[in-house]
Amino acid sequence: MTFVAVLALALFAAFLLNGDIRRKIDALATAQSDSVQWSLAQADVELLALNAEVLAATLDPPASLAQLRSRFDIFYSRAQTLIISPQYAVLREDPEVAAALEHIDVFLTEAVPIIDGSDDALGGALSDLAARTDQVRGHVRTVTLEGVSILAETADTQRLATAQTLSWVSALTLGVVLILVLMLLFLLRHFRRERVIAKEQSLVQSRLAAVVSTSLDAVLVVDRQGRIMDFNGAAERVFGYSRDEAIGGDLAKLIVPDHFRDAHRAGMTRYLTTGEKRVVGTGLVQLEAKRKSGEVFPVELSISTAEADDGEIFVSFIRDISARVAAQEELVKARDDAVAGDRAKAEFIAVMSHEMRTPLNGMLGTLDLMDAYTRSAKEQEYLEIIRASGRLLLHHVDNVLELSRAEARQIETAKEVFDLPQLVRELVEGQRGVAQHRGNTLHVSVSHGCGDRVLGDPMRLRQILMNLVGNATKFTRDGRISVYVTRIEAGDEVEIKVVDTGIGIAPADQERVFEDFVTLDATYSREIGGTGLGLAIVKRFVEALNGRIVLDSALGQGSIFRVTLPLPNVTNTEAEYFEHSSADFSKAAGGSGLRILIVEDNRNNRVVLSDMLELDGHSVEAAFDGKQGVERVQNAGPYDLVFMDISMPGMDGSEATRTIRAFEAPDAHLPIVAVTAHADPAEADRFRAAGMDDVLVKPISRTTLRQTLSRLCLENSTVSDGKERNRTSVTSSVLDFSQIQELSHTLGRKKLTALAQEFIQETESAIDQICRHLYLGNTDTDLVSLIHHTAGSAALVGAAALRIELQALEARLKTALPLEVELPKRLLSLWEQTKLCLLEYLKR
Amino acid sequence: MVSLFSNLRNFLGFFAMSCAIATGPAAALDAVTGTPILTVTGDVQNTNADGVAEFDFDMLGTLDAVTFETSTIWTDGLQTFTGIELDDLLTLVGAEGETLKAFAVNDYAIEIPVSDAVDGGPIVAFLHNGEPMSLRNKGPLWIVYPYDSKSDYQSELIYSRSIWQLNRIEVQR
Repeated sequence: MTFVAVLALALFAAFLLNGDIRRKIDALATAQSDSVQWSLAQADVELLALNAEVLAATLDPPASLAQLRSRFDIFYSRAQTLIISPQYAVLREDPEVAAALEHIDVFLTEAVPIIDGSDDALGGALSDLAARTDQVRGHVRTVTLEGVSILAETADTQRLATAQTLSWVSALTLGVVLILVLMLLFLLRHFRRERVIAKEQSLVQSRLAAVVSTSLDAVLVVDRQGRIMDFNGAAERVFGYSRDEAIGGDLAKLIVPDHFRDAHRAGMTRYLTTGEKRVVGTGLVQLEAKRKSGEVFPVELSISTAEADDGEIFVSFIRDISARVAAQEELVKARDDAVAGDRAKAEFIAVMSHEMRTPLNGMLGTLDLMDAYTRSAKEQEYLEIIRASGRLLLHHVDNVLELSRAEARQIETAKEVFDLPQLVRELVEGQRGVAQHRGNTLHVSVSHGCGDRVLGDPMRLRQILMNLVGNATKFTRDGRISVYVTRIEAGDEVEIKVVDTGIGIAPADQERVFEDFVTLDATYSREIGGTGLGLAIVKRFVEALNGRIVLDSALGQGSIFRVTLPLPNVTNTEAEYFEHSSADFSKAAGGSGLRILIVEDNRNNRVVLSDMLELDGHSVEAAFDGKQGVERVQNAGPYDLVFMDISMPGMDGSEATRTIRAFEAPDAHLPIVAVTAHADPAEADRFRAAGMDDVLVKPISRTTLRQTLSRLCLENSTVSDGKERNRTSVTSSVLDFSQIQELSHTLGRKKLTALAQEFIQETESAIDQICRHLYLGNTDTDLVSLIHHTAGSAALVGAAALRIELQALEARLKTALPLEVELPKRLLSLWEQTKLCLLEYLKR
Repeated sequence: MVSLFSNLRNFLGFFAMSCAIATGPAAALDAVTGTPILTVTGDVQNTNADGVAEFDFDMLGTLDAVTFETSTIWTDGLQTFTGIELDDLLTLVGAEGETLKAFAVNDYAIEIPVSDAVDGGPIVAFLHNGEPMSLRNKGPLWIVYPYDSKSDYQSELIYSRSIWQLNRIEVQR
């Protein structure tokens, strides 16, 4: 840029100078005058000659007259030139010269008639002419002298101007030379820089060539026609072609596998016609390539385009990744194997636990039955030992199962209202015997701030405490074990501390104790016994309940396990809503006398279950498989309840239930309870989907049986005669017979009817409103209070099922738990049933 | 008539001369009848007097003349000059020289190289603005260059060669 500007400037200056100098030279080349000084002097000379001729004529007039005339004419001509010629204009500007010329002109004008006159006249006037000539000489002299001096001045000025022009020219020439020198320097610098750049470029080029040739990746350069232009050493190794073979060859033929060739050509054509890039410039692409041997192998490829002298070229880096791909495949296989192994292990554990729970169920159940008979004290003791051992075994099995479930993050936590101090005290009491056996004292302290009723998962809390207190007992001998329960800063969290004065845990082991299957001291553990899973399960439960567990221990001094759990305090009104889920089972219902069908293939289980039920005063019939069960329900019915085993040969429990439900009358609903060793909530959902009302998990005890019957609201139902049985058993859960009976006694039949009708009217509209709100997703406090009010009304008339449903709904709304989609529908159908039952009762 | 007669006489004279001088390539010139206003002396082949070629005003008028316009440094404004090209004149007189020496009535003399005598170059003018030139007006003859035609004719050297009141040319070897 600078170079061009300087050059342009120089050229412009040269042009200007050229023009100027040429003009000046032109001016010098053309003269504006002849030898002026000579001409001036000549005027003087010619006047003298005229003067001399006049004198000569005076002496010899006739002969010289022609000569005189000629001389006059010559002078005349000269003088006229002085007067007229532009080259004397400068002289004529001088007043003295002008005046002198005026005199000369007058002389000429006056002399002409004399000269042109006749010879005689001229001869006569010679003396006069001589006088005039003399007279004019002074003037001619003046012109000559002045002229010479003026012209000398003019010449001087001209010379000066010329000298100036020349110095100007020399200055400009100097300038031009300077510019040329500068340009030369600039060019020189430019040239040197270019040479350096060229040198660098050639260095870079040779380095690049070295890089390409030593690259571990194959480097191919291809032109737009797909012809190979360059092929490095790595490419020779990878593809098996020598460089000479490859260069000029068709890329598609040489290295593109046959099954990709069409796609490759199409891609090239697309790129060349539309410029659309799919592989070019998109970074690493994984593809396949072909060796000279025809072997197809995986490659990693990156293509970019560059501009070369003869158009676009494609530069591709190709890496043979067959080794890597093989390694990857091996790795994936290894991982798959590992995952499969893990799955096999989990399946094994699940199956084993199931297989172990079934015989245990038989064992413990039978023990339960034996309980009812009178035994000698010795036998009672043995039985107790068997029961304890059986329970311990069951505990271990459950532990393993819990762990495997926890591994799959399947810990289900419940939210129930329970009495925290009572739970802790009961649990500690249960452990007191064991503790005392080892010489330990056991203390409980529940601070008042805890409150009685809290919301949480009592079962998990029980398991946590059981493990911690059990652990403390195990590792403490003749010491003290304390359980402290305090609420942290009156918030939602409760801290439970289990402190022992036992053997303690070394700091190095304190982290490990929460790991699976950790038993710190082999000898100790043998003495104490245990799977080493207790603390691992505790930790998982605590975490599942959003809590924390911290261990503080010193070897030989004891340990402190500090569990922090969210257990918010609930008021009495809030607690009410959770009541139904934690019904009071303290008094066992006896002698209600339901007609129950047991469908179970395992004889032992069948016997245990039927004996337990018969002990509670129910009449029990049995079927050996699903098919028989279905036949019984159809032909030998109606039953009040069916216990359905799940895994049976032929038709299993789920299928049998579906079959029963299929031909069941629309207004009839036979309660069916699944009996299974799978204590898995997901399974339970499946059973419910099949039409089962409840799930009973083995091992079965009389307590769990009673709880199940209570849940189904069957425990209080009375069975009068065979005809009414079906209806009663069905409606019993809908309408609490005893409750309404009592109300009838209290109020009298008339008042009860009025009350019931009012209830029906009021609840009809309330249920309608509730359902509408639920459909709209509108769950404000008005809805909650409406539900609360309706539940209260339902409780009054003994509409148990409706009350429970409404209370559960209220609780869910208050705790913002998600609502089932089916809920409004279920509520409506429940209301219809309640209404029917109530109206039927009133008819009687 | 007179001119016809004179031409005839010229022809006869020429005939007589060629008879008298049988050899010699030179063409004869008519002898002048009027006052000669130009004498060419020196190395000339064609002569009409004693070894010289003489021309009077009428003779010049019969020759092939050219006319051009130019300004001069001695006159005011554009001037018209009519005369014989120096080249033609030299051919006519059979001049065989390198240099011409021109003389004026006023004793001025100057040397003109023969190389100046070219076609389109200087003329020996005998008419100035269509008029014969008197001695007072730089006559009777004036060597005039076409100054305006090229800058080469605008030098002091050329000006010095522009001799007026010309009456004699000497052809020198």
